Amino acid sequence: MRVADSTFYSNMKSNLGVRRDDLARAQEQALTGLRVNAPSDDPLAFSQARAHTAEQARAGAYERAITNTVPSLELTDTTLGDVENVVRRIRDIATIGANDTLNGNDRANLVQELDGLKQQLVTLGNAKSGDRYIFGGYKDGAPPFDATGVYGGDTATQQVEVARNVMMPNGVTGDRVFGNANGGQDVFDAIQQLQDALTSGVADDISGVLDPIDSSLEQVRTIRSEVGLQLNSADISLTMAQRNQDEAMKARSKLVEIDPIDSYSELMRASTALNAAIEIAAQLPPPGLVERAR
Amino acid sequence: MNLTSVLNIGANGLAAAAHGQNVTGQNISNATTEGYTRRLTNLEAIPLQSGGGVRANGSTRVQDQYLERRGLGARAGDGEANAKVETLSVLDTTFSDGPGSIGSALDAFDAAMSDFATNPNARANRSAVLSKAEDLSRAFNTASNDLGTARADANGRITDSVQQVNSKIDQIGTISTQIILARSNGNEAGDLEDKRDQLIRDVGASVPVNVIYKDNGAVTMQMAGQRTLVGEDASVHHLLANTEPTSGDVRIYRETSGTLEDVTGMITTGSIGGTIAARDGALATARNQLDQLASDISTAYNTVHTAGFGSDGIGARNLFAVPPSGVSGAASSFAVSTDVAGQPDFLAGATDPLNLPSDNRNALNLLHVRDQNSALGGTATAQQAFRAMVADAGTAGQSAKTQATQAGAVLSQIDSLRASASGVNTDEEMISLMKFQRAYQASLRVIETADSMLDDLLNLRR
Repeated sequence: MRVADSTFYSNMKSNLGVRRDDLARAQEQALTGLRVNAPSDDPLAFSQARAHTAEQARAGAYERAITNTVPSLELTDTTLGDVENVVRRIRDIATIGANDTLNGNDRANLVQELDGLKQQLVTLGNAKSGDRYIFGGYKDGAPPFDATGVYGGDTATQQVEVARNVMMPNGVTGDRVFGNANGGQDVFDAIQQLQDALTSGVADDISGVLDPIDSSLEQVRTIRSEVGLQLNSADISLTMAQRNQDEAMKARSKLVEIDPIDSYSELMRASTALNAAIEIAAQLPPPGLVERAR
Repeated sequence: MNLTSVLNIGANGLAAAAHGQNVTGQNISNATTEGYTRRLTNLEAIPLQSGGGVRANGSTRVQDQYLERRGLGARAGDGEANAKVETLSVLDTTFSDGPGSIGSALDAFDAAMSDFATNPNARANRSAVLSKAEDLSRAFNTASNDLGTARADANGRITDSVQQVNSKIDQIGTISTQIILARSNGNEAGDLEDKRDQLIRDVGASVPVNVIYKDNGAVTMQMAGQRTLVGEDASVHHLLANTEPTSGDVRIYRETSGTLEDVTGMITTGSIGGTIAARDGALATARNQLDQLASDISTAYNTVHTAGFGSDGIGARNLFAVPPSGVSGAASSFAVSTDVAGQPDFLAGATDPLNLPSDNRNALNLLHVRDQNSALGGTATAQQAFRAMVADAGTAGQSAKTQATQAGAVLSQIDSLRASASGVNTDEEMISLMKFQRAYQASLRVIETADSMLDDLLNLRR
């Protein structure tokens, strides 16, 4: 084929352009560490990477939801432990009170101690985590129990989403711990019965209130173990959320990031190719008759 | 026959060799001139009975008309692909994934909503939802603005290109008149033809054209649809870029005998065709999808939000502003509703106004909007719809880039074929130089010999 002079120059121009473009891309990839920088680099990888980024953010939000809920669950757990101890003491008092050898004065003292314990229970029932009254349900902005132990909180527990379609209750409501929700035993009522029996001084009556107190104790224990289970599952959900974040991050980097070794060798290759092209271009045009003809 | 005619023949030879050197010199000095076609020296023998010798009969342009036509097609393809790449480059920015992008704004908004649902009573969480909603609005507004600017730029480029095409059509018309005149007077018009063909190539990069060469040196240049732009008689038809009042987009008309014909649909390649295709294709799709997504998001969240109650126990408030003119323009007008703007307490986290402040049921409902199929006509979540948009936009940009690479390769292949026919090769020209130099020397020898023969003849008389 006839080769026109201009062909040499236009080939040189376009080939040097291609090499320079190659090197620029290799440099960009090496500097950013990314194989896919824009949607048009690899539309599928880019949009999948977007899904993983969203998943990572989502799992991050779950992790935050769990870590923000756990402190109040832990406080609920320890508070319920305290409540259990108080109720146990009340049961001791009932056992002591049922003893015939006590005189009226002793019983009056017990009634007085019970008043104190009742106050303790009210205080525990109004426990706060941050500015939340943990036993208030939705109405956690105000103390759920008044001084006499009447519950003014809400009957529903706040739910927190900790994974896709997985809700975790954020604590328990006070009416389930201290009140007669779901056919439970009203603890303050049991105390009142005990105080009445002690005041009347009839030993049989006192033995008769042991049942409601036992039920109260059982109720507090049950709820405490329920909270313990919630804490366990919070732990599991937390691990899941963290793992999901890691996996999303890994999947994303697999899609868009470039292997540093590949990147480096590509950079070297592109740079060598450009240098070679420059060397060749510098020798153009090829020797012709112009140089020799006299 | 006499010896003086030999002197004449020698003189002819000298003139012919000088002409050959002229043509060769012209070729060499224009080796790098854009659009220059190499010339062949035309020499023809004068029959001996008419005195003999050689006549320098101008020069011939070496041009392959089929390659010229293919070159025009390749140029249109190259212009089209590059225009698409240029017009669609905005999509890479609009749908990038960095801070401030719609994708990360959606993520952050969802995360803030999750915090809000976990503790709706915390004012910081409520403020965060509003501020992330504002970020999301900004991301939509910016993206919409970017796409709008790209569309305006595309229209501007079309108008500019049409003006340039018109000015070139005028020049082609003028030059054609000169060529026809020169040729009819028996003059050469090679330089004018080079200039005209270069102008045609320039037009061909913007608008797809076809050229029919006539024997008298005239050309007919037609755009797609066989609409004549420059006639055989050098008459010209201009194109007109007109901004349509309803769509705001530029359409192209051709003037013919006082009436205007819409030829937009015929211009499918060339840089103008590529710009139109990108503007009405991927760019318009992205704009519509963005508006649709903005509208879907605002509707989905408002439906849930109006059902709930703020910390003040009042409900029926919108979270996002209702787009003033429906789906169209929803992305550019996307904003936090004035119902709740600057009022974190008005965020409707509660389902029951009597269960304040930590009734988070409506906050959870708001959180779950992210998993609702609220977009793409109820078939996808907002995030999924956004990803589909990103994939669509990326694919359009990627295929434009691929097309540009291919079109560039085709063009350079045809250009080198064209150059192979019409381009100057200095080696050949050096040989021509030597050839004509030799011929000149030989003709001098002829004169010298004839002269000495005449001398001999004169000396014979003495």
